[in-house]
Amino acid sequence: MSVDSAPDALAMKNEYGLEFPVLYDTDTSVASEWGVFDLLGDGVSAPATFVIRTDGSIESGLVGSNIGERPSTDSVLDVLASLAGMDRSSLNGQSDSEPATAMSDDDIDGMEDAVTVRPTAVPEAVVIGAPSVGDRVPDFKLPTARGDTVSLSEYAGDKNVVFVFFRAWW
Amino acid sequence: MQDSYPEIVSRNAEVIAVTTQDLSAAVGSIDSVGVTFPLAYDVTEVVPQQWERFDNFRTELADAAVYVIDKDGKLVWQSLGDDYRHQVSASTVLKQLDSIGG
Repeated sequence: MSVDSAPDALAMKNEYGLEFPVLYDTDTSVASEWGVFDLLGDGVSAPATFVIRTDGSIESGLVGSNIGERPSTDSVLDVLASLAGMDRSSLNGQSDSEPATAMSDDDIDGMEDAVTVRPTAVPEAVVIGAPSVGDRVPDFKLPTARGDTVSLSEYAGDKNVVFVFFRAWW
Repeated sequence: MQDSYPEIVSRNAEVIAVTTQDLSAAVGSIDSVGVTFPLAYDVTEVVPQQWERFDNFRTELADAAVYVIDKDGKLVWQSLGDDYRHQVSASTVLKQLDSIGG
């Protein structure tokens, strides 16, 4: 989840070849709902990582005290392995090459302090990149040839929309 | 699409068209084709790039595509051009609108 604009978030997704869904939250409503917006006073979301159980509840989370403070991948994998009832050390047979920052109970307690607003459900956001059938579509607002503006969202809940990339002869 | 616009509207749907041409070209389309549905212009090409429908055929324009989006804002059908001249018949679009209901 990025609070950058859709083009910036898309550029980041492409630059790093990210294969997982990347969401954008330009109006910061989701980051605000999760209580992590502007915690560091920099006008963006604080770095935050949450592990969400299959029932939608939060298993653990870590909110960084600076922009670079994030849990290691290994520590997140350890949490997931724990949830799945697995011991990762027995799976890979060797110690982690990267020091893990375990999500201790203190971490989680700290997160509880930082996250002042807890969502009642995982908010729905928009996937970066071309939507597939079944996806929520990204909104836009553009000027029209008649001098007003149009957006997809203004028809939500009211009308179906036929959206066309237009060629004049169509 | 313009010819079928009244039939689309009668199914409680709206047409939104986006062109990557500039305002004068968009206005020209209104004049020459008689477009009456909302025709937006996006010279920044951000929207077709977001939908991955820009310049796939080296035309430096948005690639032909038609989508049907339901009232919940979800994509329910799409027809993507296999070249920039691709067109889908209005009757096919009307069938899709009928299938999801107005």
